[in-house]
Amino acid sequence: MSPTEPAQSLFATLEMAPTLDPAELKRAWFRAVKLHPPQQDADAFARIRAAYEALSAPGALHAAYLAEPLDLEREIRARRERLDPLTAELREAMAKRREAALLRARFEAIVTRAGWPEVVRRLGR
Amino acid sequence: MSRRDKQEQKQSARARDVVLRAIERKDGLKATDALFELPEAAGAEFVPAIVARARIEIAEARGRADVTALHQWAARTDRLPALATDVETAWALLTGLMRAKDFVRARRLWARMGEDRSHLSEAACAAIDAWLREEKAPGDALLGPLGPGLADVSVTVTDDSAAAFVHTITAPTTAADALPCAARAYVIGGEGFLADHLKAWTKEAEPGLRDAIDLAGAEVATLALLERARAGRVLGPAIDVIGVSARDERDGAAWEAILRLAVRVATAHVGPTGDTSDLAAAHLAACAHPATRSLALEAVLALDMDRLSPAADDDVTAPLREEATQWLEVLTQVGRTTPHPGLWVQAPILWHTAARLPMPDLPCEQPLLEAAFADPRAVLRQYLRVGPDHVDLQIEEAAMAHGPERMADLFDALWPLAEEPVLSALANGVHLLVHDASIDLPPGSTHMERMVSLLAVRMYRAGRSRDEALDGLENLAYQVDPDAGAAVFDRLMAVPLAPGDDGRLTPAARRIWERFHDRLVRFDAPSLALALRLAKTPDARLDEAWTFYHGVEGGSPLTRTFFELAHALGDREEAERFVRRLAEGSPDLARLAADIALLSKLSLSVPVRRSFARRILALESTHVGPVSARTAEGIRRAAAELGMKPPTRAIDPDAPPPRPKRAPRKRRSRPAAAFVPPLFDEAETEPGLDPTHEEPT
Repeated sequence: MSPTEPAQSLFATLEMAPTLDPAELKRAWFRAVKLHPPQQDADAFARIRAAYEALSAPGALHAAYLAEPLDLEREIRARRERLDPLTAELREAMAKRREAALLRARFEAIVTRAGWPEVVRRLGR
Repeated sequence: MSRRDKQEQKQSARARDVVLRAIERKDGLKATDALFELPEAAGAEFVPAIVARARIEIAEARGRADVTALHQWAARTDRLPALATDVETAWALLTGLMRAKDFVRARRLWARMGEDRSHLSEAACAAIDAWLREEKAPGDALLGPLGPGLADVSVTVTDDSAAAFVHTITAPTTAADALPCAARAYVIGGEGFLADHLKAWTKEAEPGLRDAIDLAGAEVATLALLERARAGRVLGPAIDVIGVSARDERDGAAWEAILRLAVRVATAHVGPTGDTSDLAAAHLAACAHPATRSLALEAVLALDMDRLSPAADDDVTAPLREEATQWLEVLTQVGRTTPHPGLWVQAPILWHTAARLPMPDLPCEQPLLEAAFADPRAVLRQYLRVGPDHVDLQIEEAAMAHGPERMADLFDALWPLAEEPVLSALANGVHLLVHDASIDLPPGSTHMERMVSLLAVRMYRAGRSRDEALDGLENLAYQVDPDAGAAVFDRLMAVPLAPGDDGRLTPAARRIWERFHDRLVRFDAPSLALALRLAKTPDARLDEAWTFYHGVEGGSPLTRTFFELAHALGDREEAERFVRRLAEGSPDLARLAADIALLSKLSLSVPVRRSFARRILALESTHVGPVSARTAEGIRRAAAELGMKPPTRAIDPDAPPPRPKRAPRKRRSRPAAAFVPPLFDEAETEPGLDPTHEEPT
């Protein structure tokens, strides 16, 4: 689902992180206006003003926030850093068990299904 | 030759024929069986041919994984070991025996392979020895050295970790244990396993620990959700865990972050799949937190519906319609199951949006309204959150969606709980309900015709003229049904545009009015106008005016009363007579004294002003205790109005009340003109003195 306006450009235009906080939006607007005063940079000011007005419309901030692309890798990494140490020992034991089961399955597959040349190739001296 | 010899010779000859025919037919097994019936010397000449035949057929049986055939051939090697002299044939027979689990014969065959085994590593021979001896796959120590050679063998392995490690999971006993326990449960068995354990743990836990377990479960499920999104898998299992964990009302930054992230992930996921069920589940979970509860609602509000033309299917309209439809599906699903009654305000917005889309009869409104009755305070909180402007809109839309009488039930529940500004919005809402209920369309009218009538009524109420409203009504009628526009318009013309204009309400409208009449007339100026129009006798009208005048708080009671009277009666002189009678019956000195300053501003006639003045002086004469400066001013004005000397307390507000008079004593009167202050008009009102504001006495 995508919002009516290109959401990413709206937050990016105001040089702010995606937010649901109208006060934060207002602060970003004042910050951007200070950086790009209309008398010095009319085009940039027009862009940030359009972005601010678009995000100020009813529901627009929420819609833009929801549609903002999410950095899945970063989010996963942040959670893994917290949760992985809690289960490190368990995951290691499970991995060992899986590896052993896999090796047994491979050995069984070779000795019961492979022809002699392949057996020699894989298990030979 | 004896008879027995002849028989043996005959059998040998027959067996010979069988061997020959079987070899000819390439039936190695039959040839071998026939060979075993021949004396060893006689059969020797056939052995090479049979061995050659066996080698071919065993290879074919291995190729098609025919374990039965391999096992049959292997069994025949017991009597004819020459069948397995070739190592490839011997190995093929060994695989058949192992798969047939004939380990006794396999061990014999493996032992006969002798020198051929030297081609394999010692570790491999040891592993095969162990397997044949123990009749199962050898242990990790024996297989370990073989790992590199087997690394690229493709096999499917059933992961039995959950069963093997489930005994390691224990229920958390403290809040600090909750996250490690939840994480372990997820690592071992995934989302379903985690959900089952969370359910079992929270069932037994104390409230504080239960909250910690729920939060821990949601945190772990968030990681699962992100990983599912990255892999492009369905999000449902992870969102379900979050939803179960967030089943109660939640607060705090941690829950807000989790629920917000879940909705964001689900929103992004809808794009490629087109399935909104995960998104709806995420929004339903997000209902648990006040900060995330209205995300779906806000998304609908953000839709630019003005750009949505029902007929068009261009590059702008089509995606917007698709987007709107998706969000409506989400809202509908959330609305069906949400336990949070504050969300009932989604219903009118849903209706409003759906009215522009080809999605008739969305079913979510009624359950939402029912939920609102369960917790009216939540509805009020929602009203306060959205602000007074939206409250009016939402009441109006809700009334259109649910029907005025059902909404009146809700207003009844809300009224004792509401304060300003919601109370004013509710009062205004009652008028909307009365208007809506007063539309008495002829039988057979469609829902759309009802909506058209309502719109026309709204135009009329919005201050436009009756002709303008009727013009709009006619246009709408033709839009509803271009072919029968005139007929539709004629039917709609019969609907009164303002209830009470003709002195009556429809039964439904009257029922609503009578439910709220007493509350409204004391509170709301427009209600007085309707009450007067509906009153059948002058006395009843006076009662209404009386109730309103003395019930209204703050502001300018006299001004509001007078203008409402004049508006409702359509006759200024009659309105003045009502005001005069109100004053004559009023027991409220302070209020009358405050209002007397307004008489000249309202240009009320001399009889009205004198009625006020007489009543003020009469009340003053029996008043016990001091009066405020403003009341004293009003008393002085009243005396001036009548050309009388002001009472003592009007000159000195702190003066004690008059003592009871003794016997009247004849005394000479003084000229009244000397005590009459100038007549009041607007310019003479003291600057900064608000006669309507009464100081506490």
